[in-house]
Amino acid sequence: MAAELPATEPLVVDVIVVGGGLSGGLPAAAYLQKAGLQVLIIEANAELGSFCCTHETWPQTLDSPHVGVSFAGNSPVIADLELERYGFRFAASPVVLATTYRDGTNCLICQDPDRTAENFARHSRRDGERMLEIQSRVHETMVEFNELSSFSPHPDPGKLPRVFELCAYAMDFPVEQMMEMTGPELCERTFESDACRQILMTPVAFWEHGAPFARGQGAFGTTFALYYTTGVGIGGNEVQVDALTRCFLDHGGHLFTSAEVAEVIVENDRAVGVRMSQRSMSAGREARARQAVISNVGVPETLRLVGEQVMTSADPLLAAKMRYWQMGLRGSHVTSWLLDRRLSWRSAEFDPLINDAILVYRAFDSWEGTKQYLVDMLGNDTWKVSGQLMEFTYPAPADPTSTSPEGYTVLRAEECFPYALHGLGGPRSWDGSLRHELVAARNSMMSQLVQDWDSSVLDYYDWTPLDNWRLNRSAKFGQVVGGDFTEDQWILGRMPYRMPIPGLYMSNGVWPVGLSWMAAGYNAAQVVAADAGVRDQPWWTARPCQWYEDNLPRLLARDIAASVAE
Amino acid sequence: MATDHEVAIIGGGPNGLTAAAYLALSGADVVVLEQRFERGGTMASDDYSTPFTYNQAQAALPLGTDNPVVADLRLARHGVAFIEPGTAVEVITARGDHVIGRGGAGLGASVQAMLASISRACTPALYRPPEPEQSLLARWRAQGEAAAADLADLTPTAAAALADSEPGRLAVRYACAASGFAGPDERIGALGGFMVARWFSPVLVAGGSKCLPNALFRIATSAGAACHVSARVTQVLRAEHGFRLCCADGRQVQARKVICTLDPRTTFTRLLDPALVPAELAEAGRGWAFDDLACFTAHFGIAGMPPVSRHGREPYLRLVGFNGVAELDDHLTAVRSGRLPDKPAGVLSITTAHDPLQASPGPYGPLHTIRFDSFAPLSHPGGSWDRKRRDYRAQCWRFLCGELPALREAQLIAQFADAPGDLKRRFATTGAGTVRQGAVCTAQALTLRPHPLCADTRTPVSGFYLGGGGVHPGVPGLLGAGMLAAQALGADFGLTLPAARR
Repeated sequence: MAAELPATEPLVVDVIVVGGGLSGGLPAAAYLQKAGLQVLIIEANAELGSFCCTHETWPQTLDSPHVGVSFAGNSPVIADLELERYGFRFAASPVVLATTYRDGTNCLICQDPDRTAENFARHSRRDGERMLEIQSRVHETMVEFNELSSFSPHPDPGKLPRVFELCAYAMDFPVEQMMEMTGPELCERTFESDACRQILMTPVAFWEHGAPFARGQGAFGTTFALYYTTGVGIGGNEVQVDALTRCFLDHGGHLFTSAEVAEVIVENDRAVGVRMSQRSMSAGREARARQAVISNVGVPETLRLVGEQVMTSADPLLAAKMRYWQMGLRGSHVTSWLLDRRLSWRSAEFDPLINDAILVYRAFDSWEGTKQYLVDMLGNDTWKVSGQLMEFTYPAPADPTSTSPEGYTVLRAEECFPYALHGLGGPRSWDGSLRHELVAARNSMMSQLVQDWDSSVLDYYDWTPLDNWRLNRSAKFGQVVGGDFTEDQWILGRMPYRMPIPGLYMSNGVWPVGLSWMAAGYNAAQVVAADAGVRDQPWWTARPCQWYEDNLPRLLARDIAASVAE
Repeated sequence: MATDHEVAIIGGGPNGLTAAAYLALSGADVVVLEQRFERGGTMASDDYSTPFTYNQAQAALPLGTDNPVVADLRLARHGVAFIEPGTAVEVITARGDHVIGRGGAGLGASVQAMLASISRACTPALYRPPEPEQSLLARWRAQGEAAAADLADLTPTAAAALADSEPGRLAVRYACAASGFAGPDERIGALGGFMVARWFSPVLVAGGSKCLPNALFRIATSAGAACHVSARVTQVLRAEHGFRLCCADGRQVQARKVICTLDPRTTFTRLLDPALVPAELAEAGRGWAFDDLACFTAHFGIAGMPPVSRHGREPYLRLVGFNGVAELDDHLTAVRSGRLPDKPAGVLSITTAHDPLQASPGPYGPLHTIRFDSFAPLSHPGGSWDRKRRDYRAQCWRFLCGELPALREAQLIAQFADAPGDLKRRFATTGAGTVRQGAVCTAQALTLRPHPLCADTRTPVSGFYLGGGGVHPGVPGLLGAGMLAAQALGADFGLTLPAARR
């Protein structure tokens, strides 16, 4: 039976999940509900997965501005929770990720290592050979690496030696050297051509895996990116949120939306429940949890809900870390364009397969420029970084439902900026003309990267880091990945899943990065389930990447009917 | 590959989800097939990932807690709360502003009495199978609700004439146009009169309109219903134990019974196997008329204080840009003949003045969500609306800043718009322009909706029911069709549906 709010008493459940986001709250809730605990999700917005919504912004086209592609294929969640039964349909592209350059060339990392090598070899024969070996070793270690580094709880110092061993194996360097290399150094020593160095550097330049200039951490982060899978949900990536929700409800989960939590109730040093704020349908009401309160609202908000004094008496160092948690390095500024056709990249002349890609980056003009970009980001220089690095997501090649009957499609781009806008009037300037100026600069870059860009664009929209913070109160400064991945906010320096206050757990601000691969929620569920004695489930056995690997031919086939496994 | 269910519901909009909830709670094995990428139909609200919530097509409902579905399904316990603004409309003209309270207070005693009477008299009739209009009106007169019956017999001109001020007449005429009665001399009928009355008593869903279908979906899903999206049913054929539903992507579903919430034209001329459709229903489908008057709907998100009514209480709607009925008539005439009006006059709502949940609190607030509707031609005379939408939206904003200077103080942060044809492209079964699934004119109301053979939702095709806006009651936002279809199906097959004590 669906949850009914009791008339006067607090609702009592086993687990309360504060914040129903895709990365952390929702998958954790679904796992624990399926494992037999009674779970209540309390979500401040009217819908779950606010950051992972798909919109029909323009009629009959689909846009998922904050989750342009999904990394769900890395995740054991699809198999464990049988998400396909609940309507999750996924498609992949023959290109995992691509970079496109103003000089008319491109780099493609493909599902097929031979195809990757063929593209890399056009830049440098040696780089092609190197990449073939690297990608083969990555495929070989895909499951183990993902499990160790992402789909098991951290911080766990015991796992790090093996993680570095795997990185070193994949990239073919001695472990001791890997542990002393920065990201740029690894790129320079791996590839000789600028183009190949740039694509290797690109994901870590988004500051989601570790600090690029940190020794060891930078090399790790660079390698880490090679272990991603990519795809899109058919009907928009929101199908992932939807399938999790249906699974959760099907197993008896309770759900309150438009319900903002004001306080995590700590009694006798234990987290025992939450109280709703006045900005809630159930204003002032309490809910109590026998086993766990999982906070998906990120570090600063969790500190506020628990109370700084309470946290300090439990663990003063951690409380201080939370107080000074950095989130301002890379706010997302996203743009979506409505195009009157399927787009064609100018670099398709160099390698046409790029037009089948769902994830493409504008990634610098030179290797030296790449390094300069990283320095400029650290220097908070908005205009110097503008236009250098953009992530484009484009579902049209893989999801036919995202294209209108007239053939209109939506291209979405993400660019990251330091939030603070030093010298430009401060953060309030995000509401002013700056956003339009940045979009104009973006448009001018686009016309150099895409055929017939100006005549293709029917309309566009943009979302600033300030918009994002307003939409998702956990995403302080528009930081969508849980916290800056600076040197001291890396694996051992992220939040623990199990907090020093018994009964309190975190699924945001943890390791790894918060994303559509749902690792944070999966790990939080593991920890809570272990503590509650329900981890040992016959269905809770899938390993990362296995589902994607086993089903890849079907995901690539773009046969919609076949993509439904019912 | 076919899957088997007891009941298949075509359409996951508010009616489809209502039927799914009733039937799933009664123990039936239900599957809902929705062609869009998401459920909820025209009760969609979306933030488009901005800090503002935009109610796309149905921003206000005619009924809230008086809707029996709310009590039957205990929607209040699933996050559904209603907001009833006390001031309905502020009519802003060059000669001054005129405030009309909820229920039509300020329109004059006789109009106000009619609106109250039809609300009382008509509401129960919306949630039981229909009777012919004359019989219904006679019943109303016998019950002491003659004012309701009198209103049903009026035309927009005659109804407006009963208001005791020009702004009042303008508001009544606008309410008629918004209900589908743009022409001044068409008899509005019982359902038309109800819609006009409820235009002056709007009900908002707290958190956005989508919270209502979300609650229905959660109830249905928790009771075991399966709900598929991106599943467009293109054909319904007889099968051994009921029906086979074929989807556009090749999927097939088998079910013993079907509730179809698509419009009658689609249902009887395209969807159902022609061999199953009696000639009268095929003809009723072919002749089904849709409203041809649509709105350009703009959504603006601002930072800074919105204008507050000089009269104190924030009205739900501000009717701006018309100085009297004549200007409204000119606007409607232009639009209906395919021309752009002189100015984008229309109705403005500051949603967050009534429901603070529909914008984020900040930072750097206060943030406010604005919705603006203006009648506009279905096709843009200068070419495709796709290429004109952005400019017209900007024109609407400039117009609003001219009419309401306080808006110039606010910072414009978010803006979206739907052009007149966009509703149909989004929601498919809404016909030409409006969210009504067929004009609710007297020729298509009550037992004529869509045809006497199926006005009680049962059709001559055994096991196939109608449950959408194209069957009684037909007024958007009531959930009545979904309830009635579930009840009919339940009665025919011995199911006990949830019902609050009445």
